[in-house]
Amino acid sequence: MHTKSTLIIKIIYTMLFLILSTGNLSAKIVLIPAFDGLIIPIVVTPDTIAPTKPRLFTSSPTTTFAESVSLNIRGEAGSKVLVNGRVVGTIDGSGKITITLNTSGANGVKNFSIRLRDSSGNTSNALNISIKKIPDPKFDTEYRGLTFYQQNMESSDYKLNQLTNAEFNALNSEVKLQVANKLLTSLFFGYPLQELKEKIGNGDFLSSVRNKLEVETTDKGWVEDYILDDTVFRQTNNQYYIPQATTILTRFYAMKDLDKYFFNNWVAYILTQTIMFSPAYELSSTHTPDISGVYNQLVVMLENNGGMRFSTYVHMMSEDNWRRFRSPEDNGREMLEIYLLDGNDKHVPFAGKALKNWKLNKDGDTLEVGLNQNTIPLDTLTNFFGGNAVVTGEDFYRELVKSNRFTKGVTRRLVNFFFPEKSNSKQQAITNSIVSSNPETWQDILTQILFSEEYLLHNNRAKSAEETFFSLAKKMEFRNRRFTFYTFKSELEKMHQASMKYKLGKIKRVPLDTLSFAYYHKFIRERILIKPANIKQTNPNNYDYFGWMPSFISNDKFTPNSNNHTATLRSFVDYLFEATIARKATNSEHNLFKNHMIEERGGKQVFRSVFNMFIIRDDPEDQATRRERYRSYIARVVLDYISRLDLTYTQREVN
Amino acid sequence: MNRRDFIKLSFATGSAVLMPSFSYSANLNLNDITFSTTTYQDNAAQTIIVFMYGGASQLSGNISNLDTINQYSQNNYAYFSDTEATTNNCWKSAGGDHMEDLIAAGDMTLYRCCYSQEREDANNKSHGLCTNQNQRGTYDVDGGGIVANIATILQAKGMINKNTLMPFVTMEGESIFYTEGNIALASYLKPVGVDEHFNNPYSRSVNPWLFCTDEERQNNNCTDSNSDYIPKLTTDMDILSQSYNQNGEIKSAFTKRGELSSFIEDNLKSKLDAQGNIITPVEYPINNFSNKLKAAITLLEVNPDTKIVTLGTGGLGGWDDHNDARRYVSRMEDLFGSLKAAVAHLKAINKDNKINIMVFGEFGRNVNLNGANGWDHGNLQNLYVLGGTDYFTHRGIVGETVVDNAGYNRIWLKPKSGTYWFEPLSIASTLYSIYGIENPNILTGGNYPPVNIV
Repeated sequence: MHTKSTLIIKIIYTMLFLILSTGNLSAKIVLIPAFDGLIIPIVVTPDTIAPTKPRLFTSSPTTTFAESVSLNIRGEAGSKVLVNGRVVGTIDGSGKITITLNTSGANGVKNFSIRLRDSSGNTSNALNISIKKIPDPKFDTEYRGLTFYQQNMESSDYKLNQLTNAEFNALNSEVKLQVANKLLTSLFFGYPLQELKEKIGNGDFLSSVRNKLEVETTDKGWVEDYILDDTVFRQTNNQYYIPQATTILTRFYAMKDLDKYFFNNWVAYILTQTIMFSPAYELSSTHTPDISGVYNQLVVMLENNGGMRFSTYVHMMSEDNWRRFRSPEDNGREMLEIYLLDGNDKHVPFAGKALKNWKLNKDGDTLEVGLNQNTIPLDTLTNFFGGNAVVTGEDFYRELVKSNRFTKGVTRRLVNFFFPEKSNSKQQAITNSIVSSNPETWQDILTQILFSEEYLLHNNRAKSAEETFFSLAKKMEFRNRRFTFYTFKSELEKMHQASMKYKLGKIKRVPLDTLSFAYYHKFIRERILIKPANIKQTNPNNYDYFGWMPSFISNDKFTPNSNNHTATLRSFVDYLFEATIARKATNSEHNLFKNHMIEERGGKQVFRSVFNMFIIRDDPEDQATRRERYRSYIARVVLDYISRLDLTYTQREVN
Repeated sequence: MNRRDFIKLSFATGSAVLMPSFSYSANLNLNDITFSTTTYQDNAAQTIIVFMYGGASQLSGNISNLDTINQYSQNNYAYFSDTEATTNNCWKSAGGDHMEDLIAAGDMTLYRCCYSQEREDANNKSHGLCTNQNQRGTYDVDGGGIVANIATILQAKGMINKNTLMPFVTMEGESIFYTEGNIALASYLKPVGVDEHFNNPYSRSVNPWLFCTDEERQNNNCTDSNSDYIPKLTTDMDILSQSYNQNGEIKSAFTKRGELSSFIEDNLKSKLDAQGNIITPVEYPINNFSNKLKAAITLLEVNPDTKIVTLGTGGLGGWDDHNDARRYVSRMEDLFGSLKAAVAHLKAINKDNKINIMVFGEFGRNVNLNGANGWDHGNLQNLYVLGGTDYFTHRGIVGETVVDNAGYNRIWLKPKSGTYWFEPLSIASTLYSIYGIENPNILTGGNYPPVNIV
């Protein structure tokens, strides 16, 4: 019972709170415990003095060709730094901070308004900075007409119709979830359901994802150290296990942000799955470092704006490539066919002549280029490529990538990879649209495909195991054990989806013959969907250690109601469905689970004992443990069912 | 097929130089098929197709022209430590002795002139396109694969139905042999996969605590995950999920999963010894290709319903020998050592009259030994046909070749004037014929089976 005096104080407190919270005063209320468990408010004089305008303590450049510029700022310690209205950091105790201004995008003057805001909400005057973005001179670098570096196109210049935010927002909520999942899954990414729904709800989902791919936020140093941490991910130098491929797979799991670094890695990964850049570790003449050789070089070139012609030119002349195609005729023939789709056998002897002084020396499978190069102009190839005269091997590679046929060839390869079920004529039409936009970077092609209406709305295809695994791992809050990615790599081989193994790349990205698919289904079912992690297990070598974490099915993810078990089950089942395959369960599916998990007891519909997530025990700890375990049991049954749905393994046309 | 379609098939964006000199459509029209039930039933054929991916050189079965080749070759064949010829000019150390044994016993026909004038005219020697053509047996971009066509026809003629157990089996994953044409394949006609160790990824264990009802636990042996008992819930799950799954390979794979699991457990596991090796009545050379052959023959023996098994030569390595071709010699020796053992195996189980083995690839090779001591792509290959003695009349060696020196590192073997040769599409015709199709030429652009074999 409250005394009269405490009630009076409560009334005063309430009134004061109302005044303060509705008026213009910016006072703070400090709440101090007083007698009888009550709280007495104390009014503190507000801070109304704005911080002084931020100052530079090193000068700002007036021009740049970089994608970002760092500035050193001084100001009131503890105040937030706002750039063009967005908080970018907090001034440290010594009154300093280094901020990064985003200068990416088109050339021209970039204006930045930098203000400080203290904890009382007072905002300083603006420090205005203008930096002129100028063309990077490196983009003028060329050799005999081959331009080395290229800037990505603006998406507004794409010719393949792109799905806009407005068109996306106009879809119904289930379709939006499916489209968002399709996009993210294609990128080997995913978000927990609630987070994804929030992002969709912001109204700018597609553009925000696209923007993320242009800005680097990953702490690369941390990621690269982390994936080599033997206590977390097993490391070995034993080439039998193809550790380079395993490390590449691990990186996608370890990268937390969908950003530019992630995207560059994804682009490199996609390219190395195709006939264009497969390191082909199945061959006796290749060596496991070729995997990192091809892949890492692509990542580095992507990071440095290497154009797709240049990166292909460099790759074709590499030892990695010659270990795959090992004689002048073979290498010449395959380069023509792979990049230009040219299968004319009459061109092969000329390619062989151009490359006559190139060979793979058996001593360490080393590329050896002699001085006895060809000196006779090869007019057939010159005319076919339509550029400078082809005489030597270097001419051959350079003029090949400069050819107009190159853009058509590589675009078609990637279109086939992402639209495998489309008819030839449709694939050609998509290719033509992309080619007409004059892409010069791999990103120009791949981004154009990924965000296209054709891909997001109208494409049916099987998901690769990487797409399924990495997206589920992020959606289901998965915890790995040390061997997880060795297992994944070897299971990919059984699925005939081995990464970077095949001489001709993945001719079919996702083989669905019964045996290949049986391994695919088995892996996804047993190693992810029905595999909860044992949170108590601390040994990362242990089988119990890996799986989805209890947080994936915590009570805040759905609507538990101890007074209505049936509604609780329905809510939980819908959550599991949406979180994994982006649709709710149908009534038939709900009935299947209800009939198995709910029984009538005492005239009420309640959970069967083994599924009773509302079980009551005397011991609170025992009760909590059991409730979590039984919730996990429900999830395992539902997720087992989901593992039997083709939607788990496919991306479907959505309308 | 029209010009445009062929171009599309040739390469993604097309290359007019690849256009063949004729046009035709090879869509499967069941009304046009003349089918002999008697031939089908009398033959009771079962086939193992061994596809040599990469394009194996024909030289192991034919070094008749070696002296001439050496006159023109960039590198001399002395590179190989041994190019001794057998009586019939097979390459002794590259499987030649085994070939001679098989031929002498009347167990094999070696066709030396599987040559393509069409490809010659089209300047086509690309892996992808030639594989596509040979496994479809047609130039039609929409044409079905050879095995898919056989499946469709046998079903239409009532020779196989949904009760036929695993009529088509792949031990190489997906291939164009099974590509659907203009007629969609029923689920039970699609190939199933089995590996050479009879592993069973089709099995699916469930936790009885979660899947069994209280009643099931009381009334059945639903106590542990090793029990054979299948809880009703898992069956209900399969039925319901399949009702939502769209028609296609995944749905088909789910449909067959249980049956395959049972078949492997009930019929194939018993053929393994304690070390997991397949028990056979004859010794095979030790290599992974032998394991595949053993598995294929064991499967065909156990299950007469299986008509065709396709396998690559995985375990030996690819045949795209552009460099260091010495490895080709030992690979061929291993291949034919295994094939000879396979024929002995067939005889031991009295199946050499019913089961045949056909060995071919996408093409043969240029015979110029290049600067890397390898061979570029060619246009003449060998076809090896073994077993199936009830319906094949083995002819020993058929065909003679000559050397065509076409300039700069282009040295070809071609059919000698007047000798018997055939287009690669005739291989498809052979397969169609032994399964009762009397007019296979309508599916293969007018190409008939090799003369006198069937």
